[in-house]
Amino acid sequence: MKNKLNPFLSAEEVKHPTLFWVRKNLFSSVGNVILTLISFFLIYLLIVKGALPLLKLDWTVIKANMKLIFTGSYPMDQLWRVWILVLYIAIFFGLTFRVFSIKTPKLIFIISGILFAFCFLEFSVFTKVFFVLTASLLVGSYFLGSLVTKRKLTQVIGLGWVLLMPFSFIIIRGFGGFLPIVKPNLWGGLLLSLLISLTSIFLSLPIGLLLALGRRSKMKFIRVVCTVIIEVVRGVPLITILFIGYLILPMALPASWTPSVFIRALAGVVMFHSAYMAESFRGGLQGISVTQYEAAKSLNIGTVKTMFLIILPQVLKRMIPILVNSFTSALKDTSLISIIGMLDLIGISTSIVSNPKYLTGSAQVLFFEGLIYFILCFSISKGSMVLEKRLGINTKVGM
Amino acid sequence: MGKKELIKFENVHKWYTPEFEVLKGVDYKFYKGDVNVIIGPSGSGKSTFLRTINALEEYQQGKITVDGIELNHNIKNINAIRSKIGMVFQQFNLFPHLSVLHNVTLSPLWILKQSKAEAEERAMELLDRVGVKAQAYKYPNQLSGGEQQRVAIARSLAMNPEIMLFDEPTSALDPEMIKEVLDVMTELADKNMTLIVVTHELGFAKAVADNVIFFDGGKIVETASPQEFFNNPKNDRTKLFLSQILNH
Repeated sequence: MKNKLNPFLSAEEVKHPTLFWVRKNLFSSVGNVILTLISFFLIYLLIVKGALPLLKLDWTVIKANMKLIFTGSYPMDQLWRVWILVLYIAIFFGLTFRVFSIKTPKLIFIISGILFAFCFLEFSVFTKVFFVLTASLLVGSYFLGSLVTKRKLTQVIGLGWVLLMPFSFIIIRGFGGFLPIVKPNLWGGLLLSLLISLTSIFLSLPIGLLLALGRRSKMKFIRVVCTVIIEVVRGVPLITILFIGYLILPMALPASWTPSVFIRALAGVVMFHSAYMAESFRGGLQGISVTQYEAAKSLNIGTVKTMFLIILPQVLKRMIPILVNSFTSALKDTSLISIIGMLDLIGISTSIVSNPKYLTGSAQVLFFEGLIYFILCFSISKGSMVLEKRLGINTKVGM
Repeated sequence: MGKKELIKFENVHKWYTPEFEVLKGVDYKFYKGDVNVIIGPSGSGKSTFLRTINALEEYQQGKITVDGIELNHNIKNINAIRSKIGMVFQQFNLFPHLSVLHNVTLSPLWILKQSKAEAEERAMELLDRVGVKAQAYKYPNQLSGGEQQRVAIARSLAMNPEIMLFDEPTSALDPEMIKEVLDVMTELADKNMTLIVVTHELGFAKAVADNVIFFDGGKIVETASPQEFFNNPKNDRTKLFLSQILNH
């Protein structure tokens, strides 16, 4: 009835909506017919040559090395610490969804469902217990989050995410007497990749901001120093920075002063991303009109407060897409540390397939790792879209 | 006349380069409770003159004193002076990421360290006074220009200034909104606040001003009471300017 009244629909369309859609979208002209056929052929090729062979492959290599891929040589008896970190993230993930989603989010139930489903696969009881715990905390924290006011909750999750980095280092590395120390050379796989990218994201934000402000400073000395740091670091490939840290630094410094390979790699990655972040911030800062600073001055608001109360909130909101870009590249760029012999996700895969037992497994391992990276990056970009939309609702008018 | 001297300009010069001098020796005294209207052609330096008062622009030579405090590079003096002065801009310059209420409460909360309840109560009072109380929870871009400008006035008043500077407050507004802003300014004048207004609204100058200052070529050309200024201008440059804008 409604359709008949719509003046934009023809009689045909009302009668056979599906057929009409196919003709309109796939076969509306000779050119489109050709494109449609080519596309169908490509999809056919992708399935037959790409996806189907994957099913025929022997995936035992993944099953057997699951622990290595995720945590490297982290001691078996300390593995619960990694799980505690996962639980911590699950809690704040659930709470974050409580704050940011308008409808009940399907994603939380999908993730929890997948985790429950994993319990029917061949995992140890220990792992299964933590799968169930993670899933229940994810859903549980989402529902329990409604008990607290939104304002309180926002503060709690803010604090939770900020403390994530120190917390993960304390729990993974261990601390004085309570938790036995696990040295960084035992960390590996996804754990190592995530720790390094997380740190570089966390530290590159404040360092990048300081460098950007320094570059805009009125004091010439600070301006020159910051500009030189940014330009030099940005002008050199990350690999070069990593090699300098790995090879040159130990030669230049006395042995007792040289920090561990982990610290050197970490410092290199952080430095590299800070320089890029600085330029992103500079771009963001330039988008703010000088009149905003004047208004703040006329209200007697000092420089630091102006920055935190007026300028940064506007800059950060505009920078979300660019920040997401940096976060995903920070996540993927860490794979380069495998070149200086660190056993991150990529490094560990190289060592797995070099084991004669798994010589035929390289395709599977690479596919699996690609999948992990894709899931991580895709969730970051999806999450940012939700965030953007959410902030847009309040402040589309507020920008 | 026991009027208190509030702002004193003594031979103030400002230049960007020696060839490009914007203020060429300004001497003037503003008195407490006066409404001063500054008029003059574009590029005459009248906005710069206004903006030197709260140190948005530096000056290179001469001396400015505000309520006994010398305006120099000492940041303490600058802050002390700014705390006495509110300013309203041509483009409103509200903070777009904050609601109207937050725009008004921001500096009382963070600078005057008022409690939240106190700051919000006072903000609502001020928003009511300028007639935009109903919009308190909206964001600046949801408001008309006239409403935004009145919010900007409320935001300045929230800092309890003794002096209000207006830098062409109605130049960016549609004609029907000019009146609502001028009405608020007139009300401030009635309450004996010291106003210094750069404007092209001669009607406002005639009706409200105590002094009219004609600015041209980086200098004060003529100052007089509005009756004297509009009916019997002394300087030839003033006569020319007035004939150009009054007889179009």
